Amino acid sequence: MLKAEKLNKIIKNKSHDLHIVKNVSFTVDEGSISSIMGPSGCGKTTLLGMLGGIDAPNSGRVLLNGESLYEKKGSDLNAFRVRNIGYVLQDHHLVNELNCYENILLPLLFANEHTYKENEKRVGELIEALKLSKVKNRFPYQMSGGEKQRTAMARALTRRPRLLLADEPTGNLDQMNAQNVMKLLNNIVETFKVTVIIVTHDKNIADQCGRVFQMLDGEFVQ
Amino acid sequence: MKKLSVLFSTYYKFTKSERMGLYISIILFSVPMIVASIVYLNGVVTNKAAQEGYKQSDANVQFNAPFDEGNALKIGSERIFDSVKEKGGRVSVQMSMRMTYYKDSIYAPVDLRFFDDYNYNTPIIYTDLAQKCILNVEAANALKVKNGDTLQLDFLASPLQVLRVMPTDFTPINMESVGCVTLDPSLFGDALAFVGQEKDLDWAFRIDIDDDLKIQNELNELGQVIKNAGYFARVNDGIDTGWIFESSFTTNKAIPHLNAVVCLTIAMLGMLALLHLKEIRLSKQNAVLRLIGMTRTDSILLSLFDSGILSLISCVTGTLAGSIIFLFNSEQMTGVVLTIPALLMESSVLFLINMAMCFAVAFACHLWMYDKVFSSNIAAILQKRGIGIRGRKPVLWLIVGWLVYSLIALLVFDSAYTLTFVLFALLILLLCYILFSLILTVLRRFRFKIRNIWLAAFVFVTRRKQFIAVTGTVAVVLSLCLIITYNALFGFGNFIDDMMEEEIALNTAVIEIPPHKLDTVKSYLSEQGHDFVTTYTKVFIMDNPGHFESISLAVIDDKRQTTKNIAPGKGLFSAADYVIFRGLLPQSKVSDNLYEFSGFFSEDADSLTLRYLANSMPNQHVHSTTGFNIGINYEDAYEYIDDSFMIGLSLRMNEKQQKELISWAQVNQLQVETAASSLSRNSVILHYIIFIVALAIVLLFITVLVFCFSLSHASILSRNHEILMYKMLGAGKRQINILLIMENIYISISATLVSLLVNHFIINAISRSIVDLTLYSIPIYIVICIFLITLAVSFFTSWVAIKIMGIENPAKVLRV
Repeated sequence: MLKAEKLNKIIKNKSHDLHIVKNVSFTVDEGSISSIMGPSGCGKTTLLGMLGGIDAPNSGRVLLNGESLYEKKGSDLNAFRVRNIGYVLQDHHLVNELNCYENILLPLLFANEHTYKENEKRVGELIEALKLSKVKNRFPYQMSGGEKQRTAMARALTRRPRLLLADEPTGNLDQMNAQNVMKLLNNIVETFKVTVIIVTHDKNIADQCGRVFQMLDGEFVQ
Repeated sequence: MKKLSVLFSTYYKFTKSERMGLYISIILFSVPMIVASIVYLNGVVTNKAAQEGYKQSDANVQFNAPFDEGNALKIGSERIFDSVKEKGGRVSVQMSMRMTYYKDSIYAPVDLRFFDDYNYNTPIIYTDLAQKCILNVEAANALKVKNGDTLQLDFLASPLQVLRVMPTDFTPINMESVGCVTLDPSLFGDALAFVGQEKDLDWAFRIDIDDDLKIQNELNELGQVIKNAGYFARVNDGIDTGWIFESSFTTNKAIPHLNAVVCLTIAMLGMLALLHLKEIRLSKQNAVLRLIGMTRTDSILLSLFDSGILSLISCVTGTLAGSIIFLFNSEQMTGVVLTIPALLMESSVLFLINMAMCFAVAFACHLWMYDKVFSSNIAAILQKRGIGIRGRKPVLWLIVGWLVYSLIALLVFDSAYTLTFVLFALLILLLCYILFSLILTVLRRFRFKIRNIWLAAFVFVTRRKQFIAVTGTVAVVLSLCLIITYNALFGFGNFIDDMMEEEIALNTAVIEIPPHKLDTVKSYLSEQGHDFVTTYTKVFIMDNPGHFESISLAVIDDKRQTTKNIAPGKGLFSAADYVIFRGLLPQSKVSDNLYEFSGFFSEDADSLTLRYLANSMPNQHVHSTTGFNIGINYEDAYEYIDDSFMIGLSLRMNEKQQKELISWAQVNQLQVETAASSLSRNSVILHYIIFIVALAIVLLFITVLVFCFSLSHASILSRNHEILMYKMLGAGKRQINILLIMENIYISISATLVSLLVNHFIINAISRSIVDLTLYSIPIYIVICIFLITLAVSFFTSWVAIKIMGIENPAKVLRV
């Protein structure tokens, strides 16, 4: 279960302070898929960063399965984050020098927790589940937008996180590909029992999620 | 006007937001000017130094005309005397003896049997000292004497009065010397000379030229000496000041020039890389500005602001920085005080042209970049489909830039010769790039499985073809700079030693014989068809302090040109094939005393010179390394003595005012303190070499700076996001460090290997063919040093990328 309690984020500028996220609190059940929806600049991505443990709030707490993220510091926080949270970004940000298979493998190499055979097996499963077999040897510049996004999802899932955060995962895709990605996300939730939070400004995408949080000017609105 | 003001204000705002980029641009664009200034000023001072080498204090023009081991005045000196005569000068001569340390004692490596042999009516040296000596501070301290004290040396019959205690010259050669003893002033005048190297056992004559017309007597006297010496001579010593100066300057110019070219080329690469990055940014900016209504004229005006202001700032900054570095360096290293007024008086026009041309290069390069920006397809840029260059237009401005660059090379480096270096440098760079690309392409063919993070780093290196090839190439250039500096540091001492010993002799051959075997040798030579000309005696200092051993050398007139006829091509020779004999060993007949020397022939400008060192002789206890030579072709050798030095000498007499422009402070100080108005040629040359080495180091330092800036800048821009991504994917500091460290290690290893290959097979070949100079092989510890330095520089750039750009927070990647 993911729980956010009174999250605030203020960015200090020379002339004035920007209060980007204001007292945001919510709870998301384990194994569910939720979306945060709102216009550009309302603080969605910043909130996602805070939920993902990479952007500390000025105040408030984020609890993942009862463990408070920001009470952990430095390497503890990093270790917790990489073990429990996966990210999918709008621009997928694949490593251009690595092919699809190697991109998915990369987080496992960083983790250095398993043998190479175990890593191979895990990546193979993901490639199968996300239908990437045909492109597994291709480099990002040889793949389509949808393939890149699926590779990015597979990469985010390699360490079997409990929480998957997706920032505009369909932002660069056409409607058909966007629908495919949403189907995949639903499958992922079912297959890997992972909690998914999607940030989007697309109502159609948001409507396909179990729960929708509407955000405006840094606050959740009904 | 109002529009211009608006445009300037727009440009100012753009620049303000890109402050870091602007600073790096200024530094990069300043580098060519810094290098050009240093090299150009070096040229100015080189000429001055060469002149100063001949020029002495007061109204006199004085120089040394050293004798060889046999006390024979060097051939060529008489031509100097002739020149002096033409000028109506006066020659006064005095011999001096140089004392040296040897195993905590002081010795005078001199033997005067020469005078005995020829019945030269000169008393033996030991009884004819002027009872005066000059000691350096260390020697005086060791002997516990001061000015005016009396000193009794073991090897002298009479005590000496300490005329002066003087500071020691810092050059290695002079540090060995402890002082000078004045000799027989009644015969040779009242001057004093510091000359020669300890190992040469040189005698020296100082020749003062003034307005008196008493030259004839002295010349007659010298002429007699020369005649008696049988023209056995080391010809180059006859013109040694001019020749050695000229040759050492010419050869040494190659080092800073080569270094400068490498630096300039790196700077140019850096500039182009920077402009490329700028082009990407400006293309987007230009597209947006054009879309919102900016006209093409406005864009051009904006680009002119950018090009002009940056070029001007860089140019002025570079000129100032280069001049300050040079002036500081020059004064520190050589004692040459070059004032700004002197500099302006000497070279202001050319210097301004130089500066203008550097400005033109930066300006032209910028215009080339803007040319590309304006050719971009706005729609393509806005749709993020690359920068959208429309086809490949002839890069007019780039060509203009390179042409101006070549002109600078011509102007600054004084000849098309250096331009060849520029082209070679570019070829080498291209070759390195191709080599790297090739290696990476081959490696990429192997499908390495990324089993761990170490292999991942390797795969990244092999797949980042362009980035790594560029980085590697720059690293190779850096390594080459280090190799060249190594050569400058450690090799040139040897080079100069060799040069000192490289001699062109006449069609005489020298044989060494024991004095008591003279008759045997004469008859043997007669059987062989050689005319015996003269003999002289050579002295070696033995291990046992205070003992000398003499070897007689005979000079024969090789009318049959035996040596020439049987002279082989370049390469190893056996002395037995030539008329060289040593007679130190016990012998029953001369032919038994042939000794296999190791040595080699080298081809000089007009003659073939045979050269070997006394170190390879059987009496290994010989203290000094002394060169023996056989000249092959007298006529050629004689022709080789050109008049340039004499002309220079004559000119100096009329250009006394130039002394104010530049002064060899240390030499002057010596002159004042000791009343010795002579200048050690070796000292001057060594000063110059030290200066060259220092210059090379400065250039290297600039190069490293450029390297770091270029790499850091490129690294920051290209790696920032990548490293953030790794962090997002769970890479800890350790993993990122492993990735970067391994990548740097791989690049550094390849760069070191490639640079060694390039150095060995290409640079050396070029160097041999152009300047007849082989760069020294790099010992393993230098290879390790090169690797470590390259690695350190690479690490520095990574460190800058991580620390300066603050990529600690991976949340930034969400906002990209």
